[in-house]
Amino acid sequence: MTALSRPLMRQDAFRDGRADTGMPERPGIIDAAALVAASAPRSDALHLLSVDGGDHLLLVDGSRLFRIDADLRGRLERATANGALSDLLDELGLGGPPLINDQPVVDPPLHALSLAVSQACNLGCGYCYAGQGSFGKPPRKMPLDTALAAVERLVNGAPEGGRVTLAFMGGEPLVNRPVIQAATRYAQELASLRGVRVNHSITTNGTLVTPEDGDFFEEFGFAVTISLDGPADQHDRLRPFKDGRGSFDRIMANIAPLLKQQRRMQVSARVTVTPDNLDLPATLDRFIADGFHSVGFSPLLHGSAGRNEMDRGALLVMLDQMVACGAAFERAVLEGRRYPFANLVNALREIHRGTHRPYPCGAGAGYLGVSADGDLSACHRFVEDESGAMGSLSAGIDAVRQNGWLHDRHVHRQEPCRSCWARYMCGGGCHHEVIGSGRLSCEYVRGWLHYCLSAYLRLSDARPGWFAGAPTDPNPAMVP
Amino acid sequence: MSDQNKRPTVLDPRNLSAQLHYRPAGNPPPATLDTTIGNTCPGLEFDFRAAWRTLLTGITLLEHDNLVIAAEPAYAALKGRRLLRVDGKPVITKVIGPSTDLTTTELLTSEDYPEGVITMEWSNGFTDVLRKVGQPVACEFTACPRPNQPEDERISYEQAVKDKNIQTIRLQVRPFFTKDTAAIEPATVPAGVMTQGLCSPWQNDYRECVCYYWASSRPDFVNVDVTPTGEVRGDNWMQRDRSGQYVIDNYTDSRMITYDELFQKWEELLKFQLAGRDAPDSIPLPFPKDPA
Ligand code: SF4
Ligand code: SF4
Repeated sequence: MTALSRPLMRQDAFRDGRADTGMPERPGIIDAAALVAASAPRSDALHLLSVDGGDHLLLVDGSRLFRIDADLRGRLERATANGALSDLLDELGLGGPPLINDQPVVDPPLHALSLAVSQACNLGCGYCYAGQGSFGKPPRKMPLDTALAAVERLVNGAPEGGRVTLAFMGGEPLVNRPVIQAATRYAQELASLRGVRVNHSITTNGTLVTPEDGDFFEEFGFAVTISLDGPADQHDRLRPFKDGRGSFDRIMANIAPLLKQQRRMQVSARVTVTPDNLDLPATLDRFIADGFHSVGFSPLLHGSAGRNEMDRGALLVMLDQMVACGAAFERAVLEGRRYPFANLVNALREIHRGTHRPYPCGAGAGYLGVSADGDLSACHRFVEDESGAMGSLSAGIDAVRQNGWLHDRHVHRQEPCRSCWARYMCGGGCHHEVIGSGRLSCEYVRGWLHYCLSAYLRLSDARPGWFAGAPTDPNPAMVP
Repeated sequence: MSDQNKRPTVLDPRNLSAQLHYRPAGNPPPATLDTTIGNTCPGLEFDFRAAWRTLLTGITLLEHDNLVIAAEPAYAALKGRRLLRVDGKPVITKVIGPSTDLTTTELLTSEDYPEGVITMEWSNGFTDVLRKVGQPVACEFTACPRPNQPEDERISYEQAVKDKNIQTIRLQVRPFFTKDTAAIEPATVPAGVMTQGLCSPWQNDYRECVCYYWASSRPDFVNVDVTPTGEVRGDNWMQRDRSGQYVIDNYTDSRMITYDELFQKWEELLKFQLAGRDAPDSIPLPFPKDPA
């Protein structure tokens, strides 16, 4: 999953009918509708922004960002209206063969697997895409042999000097702790023999985490993601135990030692945003103060049986809230304070590099999910889902299905993405959400990206040093 | 320039992809890093070897060898020495490969390389050093030529250690990129340096690239046909008579266009290549022939 595609948005105020992306002083009153209007799709080749009274051009191909003047802005607008844009881009030295064409990725090398080590869960979240963890099947755990076979497929397929990621998800993965530990150690052994580096990650609800787990995660440098949906009252409504009791206090007590202990490991909070927990700035402040390595938000767009899903109105509120979080982040960067708002940090890094890609994420490409039974799927959410089936550990990756997926899911074959300026940053949206519910969050995505672009323009002027981190740093976003 | 008012158009690249892919007016399509046919021997659009020569402050290296060919006064004594390691990493290596009779694997030596030692291409040799921009790094040079050792003899690191023929000097690493940008740093690589040694056909030399490496932009085997028996027939791009019988270029064969002719009337003698074949002469030149 990549930063730009997944999460969220932001906005700005308006002046003279043109978006002015000045940093909002009073976030609460920002008009998300204005941001939506400023970011509406007008051209498939470019997007124009006005930031602090200056004009800027985002060239969609290659995610190239330029400061321009009002004269050039006028010429670009006229050329867009007259169908003469490609001549003008050639004249400006911005033409040439497209950096992304219609060709799909073919037979990509595998670099990440997520293991559904437990298709069972002890919580009863109403919105769970995995049907309370079991993906609509009888609950079960992944046998050790299956996990080890997955490790072998991942590590043995990597080139010497390569880097792969082994992720544990579920259900609740810690229900099957021995398999997590054995697979992790086996991956390290195999990897050191073969000169490969393995990153480890786990996504857990936090209710079963022990101090010993903390020691283990620290030893292997895990990226630990805790699913938390806000402070106690909001979280407990959304993520109760199966008997209805709240889970927040238990989780926070469990992970307190990990938050103190993290050096090699990174303990992050991931918030699923529903209409019931929309106070994002308060949640962000709270979790940053708790000592999380980073905090990220993701709107619930395709839940189980449609429960708690975000509708257009809720997404606009969320956009306001995200921009308010972004304003707090911008202030922190200007003051030299660490403020790890993951959505914006990751988006800024990607904008800085000019990341452009024809897919939203690595699902079905370099990244696959593995079910408890050893079946391969496009990602952790497509476990037990025929639409994302990709073969099995025993039979291998089904190349026909995989290449068919990569052909079909290319953003040039998605509507209305083909004509959307955000397509190489967004990639067409999470496949799981789009296949399940369609594209319902485009206004939000474009609004957020428009805000992120303007924040980039402001911060890269005011604090260029913030962007100078090594691009290979696995988590540069969080470096203060 | 904006046509309307002749004021400069403001088009200022802000992020890294905008800097990397920008092609200024007048530059041909293969003038960006991702479209170039650049390589290292010596390259078509860029000769990166020229950039590495001065990566270490104070000295200039030969572009394809570990010999110091020039030095600032403070380092004058280094001229003529050979660089062996930088920051603990070798810049030379031994060449090991199949023996001439293909029965075994052995150290490959030659008159030029009696110890089988060659200098690694600098972009490989300096990979790790580039992470230390602005810092001094330990550079190990040969201390002095051995008695009777010709200056251009390449010696191995092990031999130099054995002979106590090593002197370590700390030199600073210059930046290859301008800080926080994707632009090549002009103080390290002045304008023109990366193109000065090219053999590109569009510079002025159609011939000297004896390896014909630039065949992708100027094919050297043209008018190719495969006969029913599977034989491949075609012409050398420089042969006068397009007979389908390939003439091997030995620099003297009169069946070939001469070097002088190439310089003086290339636009008459050379054909445009369309889909691997000579284009018909009836295609008019896109510009009048220069009377000179
Ligand atoms: S899903 Fe498609 S149309 Fe919607 S924002 Fe992303 S690229 Fe644009
Ligand atoms: S398809 Fe899977 S990996 Fe990709 S964004 Fe959606 S959930 Fe994440």
